[in-house]
Amino acid sequence: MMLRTLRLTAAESVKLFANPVLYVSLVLIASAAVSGELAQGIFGGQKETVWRNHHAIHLFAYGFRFGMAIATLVLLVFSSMIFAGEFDRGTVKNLLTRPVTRTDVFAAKGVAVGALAAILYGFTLTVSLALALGMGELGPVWDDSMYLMWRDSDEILGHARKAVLMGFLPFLAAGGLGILVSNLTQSSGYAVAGALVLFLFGSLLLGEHPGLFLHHGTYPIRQLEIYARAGSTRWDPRMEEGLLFLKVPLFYIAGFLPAAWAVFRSRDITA
Amino acid sequence: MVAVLRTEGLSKRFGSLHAVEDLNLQVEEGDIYGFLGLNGAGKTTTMRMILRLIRPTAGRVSVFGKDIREDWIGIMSRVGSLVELPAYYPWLSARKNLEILRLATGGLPRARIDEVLALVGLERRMDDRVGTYSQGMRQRLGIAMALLPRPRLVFLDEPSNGLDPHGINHIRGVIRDLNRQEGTTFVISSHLLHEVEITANRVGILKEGRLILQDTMQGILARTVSGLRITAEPAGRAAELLRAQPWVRGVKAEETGALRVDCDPDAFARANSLLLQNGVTVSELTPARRTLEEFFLST
Repeated sequence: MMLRTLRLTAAESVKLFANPVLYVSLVLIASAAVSGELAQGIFGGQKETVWRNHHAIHLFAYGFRFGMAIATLVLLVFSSMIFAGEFDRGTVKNLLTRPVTRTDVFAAKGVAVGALAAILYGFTLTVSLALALGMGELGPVWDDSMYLMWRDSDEILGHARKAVLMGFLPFLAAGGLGILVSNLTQSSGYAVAGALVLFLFGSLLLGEHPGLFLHHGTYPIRQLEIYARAGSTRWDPRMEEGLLFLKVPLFYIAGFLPAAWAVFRSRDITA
Repeated sequence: MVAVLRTEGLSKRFGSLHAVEDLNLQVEEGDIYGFLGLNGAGKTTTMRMILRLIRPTAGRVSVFGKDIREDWIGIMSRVGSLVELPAYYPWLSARKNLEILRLATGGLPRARIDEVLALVGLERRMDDRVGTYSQGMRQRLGIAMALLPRPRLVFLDEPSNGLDPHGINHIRGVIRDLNRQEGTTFVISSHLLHEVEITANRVGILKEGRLILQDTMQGILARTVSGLRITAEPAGRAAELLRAQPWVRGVKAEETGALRVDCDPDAFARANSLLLQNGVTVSELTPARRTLEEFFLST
């Protein structure tokens, strides 16, 4: 099964990397990240957090947050089309009439969504960080009127590393939501619309509570941004101590994927 | 002969609709099996059940002598199919579309893609985006997809769809060549009865989900004989003599002047001697056949 899944994953990558929408999406993500940082750099004014310039992590938090907002929507669009697009075009019958099982096809698509999530996350991170390091400075955060050091360099970098790590699983869970919705309809248009509506609805209704909604991927980054300009707010301690950043998204992934698999396995393919 | 495909009691119900009922198909190795039926007769549903795209309500399917549920992977490495319309990724070239299926199939060299595209006559456009193809070219691509894994058994659902006469002739040649040279078995559903008549050696006719006839093409053609066609001089006298015979059910004059005699097909000798003994000159005496289409519509 492993070999068949790997072959199918390779087939998924051929489709993905030849899709012009992916490259348009990357441009959009980069634009959002760059705009976020530039806007902060231009309109944010000189902060009292470093001696001469903006703090790079502060800028990074802005860029990454904006970029991730777009990246999440991109991941939702791609993941919600991953099955529904095949139903829509009828290409699912081409795949299922090869020497593979439905479980192989499902696993390969799951791996492909995971890989896409990693690519988008890595891309957003790279763009935001590169620009932030170019525009800002690393080092401690100072209060320049009282000459007090609010945050030392190691502390703020450690905080940033944690925030980036904590953001990935909730982001991946958004892909899980897309996979589930993708299996509930045979129309890619309905799947994309459904996934976006569910996500935005969930985000509006439950997004402020870190224990409820799957996507608090940008929450630690938002907190990082405040922290990096010497604001006192840290993230909800339960996120880290209660391992909510792991438990909540894993809970959602564990709900979405088996449900999607059960639907896919039992579906009659009439496309 | 070995049964390459056998269905036993295969049935599919959609709510109260019996799409396919108690279907017992048998396709033997080396057959070109013509699967006939009106729209909605259940041909595509049957193919989908055989290929496990939809679940049968009852019955079982065996391919190459094995139940498809027991050795799906082994069976499908030797099966190709084009079910209903060809499906493809429009933003990719024909070559990339086949590369995806090559990866999904496993064990096929890259060169097989060029080979199969040349076989269906797409070699000059293989690197163009499929979204820019004509309907006929897409159909050729669909057939290439079915033939990609060097299958021993191929299902083609309306393979002539969208093809021009040249394309139909080309694909017919490909099917015949693969059947003769490599022994590939084909199951072809088509509404082009003439196409089936000149390609298939066995035929199954499906009506309202039930298999009402399954026979060799020779056997089917024998059933299309419906009497005699006689060209005689004087025609009027010949018609008069024939009408008077108790074994003749009717005589009709065709526009060409030939007579169409409704009788048992084995009455050749009787009709010939009757006319000759009565001084009628017979210049043509052949079995009168209904076309496959007339036969099909009368079943």
